[in-house]
Amino acid sequence: MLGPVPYFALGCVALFAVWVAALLCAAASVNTARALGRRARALAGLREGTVAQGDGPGGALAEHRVLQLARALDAEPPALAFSDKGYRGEVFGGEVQLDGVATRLPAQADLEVWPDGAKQASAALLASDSEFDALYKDARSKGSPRDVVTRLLPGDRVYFVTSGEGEGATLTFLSATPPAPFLARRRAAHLLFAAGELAVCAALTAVALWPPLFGAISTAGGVGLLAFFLIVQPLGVAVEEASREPSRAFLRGTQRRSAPFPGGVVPGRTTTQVSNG
Amino acid sequence: MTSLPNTPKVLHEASSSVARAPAAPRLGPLKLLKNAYDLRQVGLITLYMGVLFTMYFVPAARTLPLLAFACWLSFLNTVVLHNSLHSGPFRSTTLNNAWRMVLSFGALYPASANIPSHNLVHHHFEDDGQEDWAAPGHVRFRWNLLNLLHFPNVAGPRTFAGVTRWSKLHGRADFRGQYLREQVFAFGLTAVLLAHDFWTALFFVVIPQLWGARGILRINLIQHDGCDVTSEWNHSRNFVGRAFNWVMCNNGLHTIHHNRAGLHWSLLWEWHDKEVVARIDPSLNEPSMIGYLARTYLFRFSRPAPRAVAHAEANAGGTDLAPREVRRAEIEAAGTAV
Repeated sequence: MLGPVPYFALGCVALFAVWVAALLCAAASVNTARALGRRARALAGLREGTVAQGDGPGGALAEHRVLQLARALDAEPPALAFSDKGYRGEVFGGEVQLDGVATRLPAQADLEVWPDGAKQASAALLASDSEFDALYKDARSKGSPRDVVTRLLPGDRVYFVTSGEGEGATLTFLSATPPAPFLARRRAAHLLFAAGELAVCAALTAVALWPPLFGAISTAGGVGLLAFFLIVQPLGVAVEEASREPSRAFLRGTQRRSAPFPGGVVPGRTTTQVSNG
Repeated sequence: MTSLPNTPKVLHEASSSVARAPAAPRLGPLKLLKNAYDLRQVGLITLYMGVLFTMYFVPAARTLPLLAFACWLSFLNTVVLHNSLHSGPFRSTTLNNAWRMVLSFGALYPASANIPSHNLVHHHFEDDGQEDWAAPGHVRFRWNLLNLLHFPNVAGPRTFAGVTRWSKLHGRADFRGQYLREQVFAFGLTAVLLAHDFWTALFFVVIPQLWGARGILRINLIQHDGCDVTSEWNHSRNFVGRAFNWVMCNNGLHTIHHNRAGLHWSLLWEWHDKEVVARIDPSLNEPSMIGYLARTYLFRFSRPAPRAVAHAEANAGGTDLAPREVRRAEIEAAGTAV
C-alpha cells in the first residue's frame, strides 16, 4: 500500500478512465440519435406543398429570425464576428398549394420554423461596406444587434404538420427544407460517431496492450489513447452541435470589410439596428 | 454606477463585527501579496508542485497515498486558480501572470480561460443570450450518476470553443498574449515531461492534472443543477461545512461569490451571513458535499426534479446589488487585469 504502485495497476486505471469517457460520449450520441428518431416519427403527418401567397412582408407565408450581436475582431481589413442571441419563428398566414388544392394556414406568432440553409446564409451576408460600417462602431464596445431574417415566399416548397383538420387546424411545424433527410443524416452521424470512436478506442487499446507492456509499441498506444481522450470530447460536442434543428442551429459567422476604412478612420457611432427584414 | 465592494480598498477590509471573517494578519514580510490570507493559496500550490515533481523524479515516492494526495491538491489548484482569476494574489502584475502560468500547468489548461468562461459567462449564466458554456442542461442522461461523470466531456470543449471565439474580439490582444504564454508553458512543460518519461508523466503528472481540471468542471453541475439560475439569490447550492470551506478557501459559499464576485474569498462568510441566509431556500445550504453527492448521484437513479426555490427571496429586503448586466459590464471592462 505504501510502496510504489505497479505501473500495470495504474495503466489499468488509466485505461478504465479512457473507456468510461469513450462509452459516455458514445452513449450521449446514441441518446441524441434516438431523440432524432423520435422527432422523425413525430413528423409522421408531414405534408408537402408550395407557398401560393402569404400575408407577411413581400407575400411571405412565414419567417425565421436569428437575433445576432456583431462584435469587432482584431483584424485588418476590419472584420465582424456574429454571435447568436436567440431564434424566432413566425407564421403570417397564407395559402399553400397541396396536390393542386389551396390550403389555408393560419397566422401564428411563435412556431418552430426551419429556414432554408442556403437562403439563410445568403441573408446573413452584409451586402455592402456601408452596411458593415453601420454595425462596426458599436461592435467595438457593447456590440451591434442585427436580425438575420429568412422568409418563406410564394413559390417555395414547404413541409408542415398540423394538428386537427379544416378551419380549426393548428400549425405545429413548418419547414422550408425536407426534415426527414436532415434528421436521418444527423441520426446517422451520431451513430457513426459512436461506433467509430469506440472502434478507434478499441484499436488503440490493442496497441497499448501490445507486449511487452510499456515497450515502444505499447507506449505509442498510450500516446494514442491520451490523444484520443483529449480529442473525442470536442468531437462529440461538434457532432451534437451540428445536429441542432435548423430552427435553432448556430448561424454565427464572421465577415470582413472589402478594404480597410478610408484613411484609417473608424466610422461614426450608430445606434440604428440593422436588419435585412 | 456601482456600490459593489469590489474596489481594492474594500476588498481587503475585514469587518470586526463578524466572527468568521477575522481581520487579515499584518502583511509584514509578505509584501508581495495583496492579502496575507493568500499565503494559504501559495502554500497549497507550492505543496502541489512539490508532490508532482517528487513523484516524477523520485521512484520511491510513486505511492498510492501520494498520488491520491496529488489529485486532491490538483483540485485545490483549480480552486486557487479560480480565486486568482477573480483577484490576483500578488501586487505585481508580472507575478500574477507568472502565477497563472504555474496554475495552468497544475490544471493542464490555460488559467486565463476563466476570465471569459467563468467570470463573464458562468457568473451570469448566459453567453449573450445563449446558454452558459457549463450549464447543467448540457447533460441529459436519465441515470444521474452518468451526468456527473459525463459533464466535463461536454462542458470542457464548449468552454474552450467559447474562449477561442471571445479571445478574437477587438481589444483582447493582452488576453491572447497571456493565454498563449499559459498554453505554451502548461502544455510545453507537460509535453517535455511526457517525452522524457511517458508513463511516469502520464500516471503521476497528467492524471492529477486532469483530475483537478475535470473536478472543477463538475462543480458547475454540483453547485447549480436543480437551482433557479434566473433568480438573484437562489441560483446556486452552497456547501457550508466549516472545515470544508477552510480547505476550499470558502469556495463552498457559491451564492455570494456569484453575486459579489469581487469580494476576496476570505470575506465570503461575512457576506454570506449578511446577504444570502435571509434570501435563500434552506435546501440550497448543504452541510456536506459528500452527503449531497452520495444522496444525489449514488443512492438514487434519476435526476432530482427542480424545485421552486426562488420564492425564498421574495419577502427579503432589497440590497445594493447591481443588476447582472452591470456586473458583467464591470468584469468585461476589467479585462485581464484582475
